[in-house]
Amino acid sequence: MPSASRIRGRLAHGGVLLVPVRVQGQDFEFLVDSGSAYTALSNDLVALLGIEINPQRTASIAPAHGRVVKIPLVTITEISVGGFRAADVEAVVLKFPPELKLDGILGMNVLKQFRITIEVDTKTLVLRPINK
Amino acid sequence: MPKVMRITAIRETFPDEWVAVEVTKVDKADVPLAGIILTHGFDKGPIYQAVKIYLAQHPAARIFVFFTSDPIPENIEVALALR
Repeated sequence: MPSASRIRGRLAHGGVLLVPVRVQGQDFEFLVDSGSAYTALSNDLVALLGIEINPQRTASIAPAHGRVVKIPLVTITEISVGGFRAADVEAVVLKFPPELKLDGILGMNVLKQFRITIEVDTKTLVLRPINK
Repeated sequence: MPKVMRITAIRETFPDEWVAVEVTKVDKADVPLAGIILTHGFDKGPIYQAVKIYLAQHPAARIFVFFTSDPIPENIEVALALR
């Protein structure tokens, strides 16, 4: 396992960083969001990957604006960022507005395993695993 | 023979489109650098459908699906906080 990984991404409007994330073997671009407790998948992506949604399993989400809502919570059997793999990661399922061409959000439940650095000038996410 | 293209070249060639490629080259961080285009178009639905069919036929394939241009329109600011 590498001691650090430099993941070259790209900046979207507003200066937010997008990086490729491998979900159950396939790659998609996710928005890096250190303000999000959960990683999120679009409902389209969940359908594509055949991830099962259990209506009884939900998470209460407080968006930046609006009321607390309950949305589906699923388990990603394998997710990989910058070559670092994690198994059985929880993610919420979102229906993104059609204006946003997003497949997912990389949240803190994955990022908290690392010292993270966002290099805006190089459009790079740097992950250094935290030694426990 | 299918043509391998760099992801950066694909973004320039097909602006404002969804693209699915079979990955042929990655960098040290396992980030896709190049691939063979499987399908592309302006709507995500048909792209995902094509990927689903392709993966059923080629279960070992590694696919990268992405939107070539800025995924956030200039008149929209994203403020997400999922707690």
